[in-house]
Amino acid sequence: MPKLFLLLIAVCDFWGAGAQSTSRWEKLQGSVGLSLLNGQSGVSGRLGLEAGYELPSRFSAHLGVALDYYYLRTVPVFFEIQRAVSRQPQHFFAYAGGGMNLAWPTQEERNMGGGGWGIATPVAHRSGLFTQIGVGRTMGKQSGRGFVLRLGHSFKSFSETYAERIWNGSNSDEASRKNLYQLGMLECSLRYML
Amino acid sequence: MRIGLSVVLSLAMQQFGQPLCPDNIINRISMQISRFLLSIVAAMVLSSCLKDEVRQQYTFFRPVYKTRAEVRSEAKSTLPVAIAMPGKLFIKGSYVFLNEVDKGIHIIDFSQPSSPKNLAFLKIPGCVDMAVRGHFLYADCYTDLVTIDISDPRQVTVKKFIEGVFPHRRYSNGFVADTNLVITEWSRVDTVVRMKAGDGMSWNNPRVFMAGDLRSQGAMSSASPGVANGVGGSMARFGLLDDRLYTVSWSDLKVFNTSDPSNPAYVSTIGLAQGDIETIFPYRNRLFLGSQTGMFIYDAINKDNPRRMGQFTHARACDPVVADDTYAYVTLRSGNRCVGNLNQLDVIDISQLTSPKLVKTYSLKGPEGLSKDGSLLFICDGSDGLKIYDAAKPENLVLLKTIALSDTYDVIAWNRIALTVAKDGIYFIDYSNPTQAFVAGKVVISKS
Repeated sequence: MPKLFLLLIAVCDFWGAGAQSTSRWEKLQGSVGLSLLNGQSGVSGRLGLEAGYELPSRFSAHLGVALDYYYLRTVPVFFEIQRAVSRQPQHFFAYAGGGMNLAWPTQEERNMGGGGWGIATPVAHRSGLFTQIGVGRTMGKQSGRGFVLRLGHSFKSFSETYAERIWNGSNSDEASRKNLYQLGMLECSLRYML
Repeated sequence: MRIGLSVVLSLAMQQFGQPLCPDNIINRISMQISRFLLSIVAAMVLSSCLKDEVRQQYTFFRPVYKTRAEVRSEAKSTLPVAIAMPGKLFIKGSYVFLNEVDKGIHIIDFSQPSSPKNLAFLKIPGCVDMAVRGHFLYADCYTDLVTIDISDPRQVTVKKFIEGVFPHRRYSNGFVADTNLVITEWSRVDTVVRMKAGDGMSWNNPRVFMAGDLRSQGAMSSASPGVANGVGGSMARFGLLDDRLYTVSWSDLKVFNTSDPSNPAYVSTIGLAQGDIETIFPYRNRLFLGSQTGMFIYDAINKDNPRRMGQFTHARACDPVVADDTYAYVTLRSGNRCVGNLNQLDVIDISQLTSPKLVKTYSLKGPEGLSKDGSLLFICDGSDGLKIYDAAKPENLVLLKTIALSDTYDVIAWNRIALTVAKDGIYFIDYSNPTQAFVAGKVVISKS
């Protein structure tokens, strides 16, 4: 993953080489947006909200929260670092972050355990990790507002535990099954800078 | 990259004798190619991370196979062992034969109901059904019928195996042993596997299912008037009628000639097209078969070729049956493996065997096995316990007594003692005075 981050930064630097720092650089940044998530399990979406603060050397630190519907409804709460290639209103940047992936299953998802013969059984979910990495392009104005387009990789994990009936040779027995999910997805998001 | 392009272009320039590209074009082309290659690399790295994996940690039971010879050599009597998973009941004299599902048979002496003694354990791998005639016990040993001399319960003698008469027992939870192997036990396996999320998950997993409870598929045979035969329960798949042993599987009825009790002989198999057969109850030259969709009455005047006389159909449910001369009593139960939503007792007039008629339906909580002794009707009503009714007037049953027991599922009422299998033990209930029936003795079931 660190290699990937360096690679993406290199790409941004490459794309952004020669750019001039001519615009106002906002100390505080905020954005709200919608992401399209594509992974092995299909396509889904994520609503996100971020607040950031400028750091030296074109870095900025962000705190974010999102509502993620990929595979299981979860709420990622994360910290993110961005590095811009310039301070122009329109510039490329790379980002990487991570945090908690809080499980917040829907009523249906809470009853999808494999009790046997399709009988729904209660499922206990536990939170996991959340990471993301990628590159983006701001299409801002001098006012600091505007759109941000991001493309990257996102990862989230969570676990579920439920009781199930298993065959012990002469009868059915109750046992517990624990599933740890590790889901990777491609994220394409469009955000609006507040 | 740039050097390579320059070399190629220089060679081309020499070939054609004039410059093809200025330096800035070379730079632009090499830049485009570099971007393209970087994009490809990034895409490849990203795509390798686009996996949805699940690490599953679960438990399953794996079958352990043995040869037929090994299995047969294990059929013998041992010291008494704790009852862990009781199955069907059979009574002969003052002995209770209690199946330990797939393991064998406990022999319990209840000549003193207040202090029943666990005498011995007959180790019979794959046993779920049994019947006793004289001092010979017939039991299934996976696909075979075994005959055992139990004159001395502590030192039994295996007399005969009839091979392959229960072919359906080769199949178990998707595992099929070949003709020389049988599944003798299941070993517990705790495992962790990685797979793509969504593959083989939840109830789609073939290892995961709500298995039927073998105890409820079990065998009670009839209160046969034959003096040499024992008494079985209403949930039996084995039943003795005089010198014939009848066994039912899902869709057939088998006849064995036991006129020489030590040397039973297979006679015939009668196909039961209706399927869903769960129990058999022989009574006075009649065989009452309980199925999930109804009760079927067979005339066994021709012992070796029973003939279907009538049927009484009902909604799909589990339904053991007992009968007397005029009435049949069928409990319908839903829940667990039993589908439907019925929990009731149907009293059926069988005075006309070809056209049985429903007399009355009584609502119950979760009825399972039942038994009849004279005018008394005993019903295991799940968590309500054992209920004793006065059935002198079947159209107006009178509840005489409820013995509170946990999850009762089988009963044999015989000679003023009702043997009842419940969740936590085998109860011996004295019903000399039905309204004052009480628990006279108990053998504990050990779940350890």
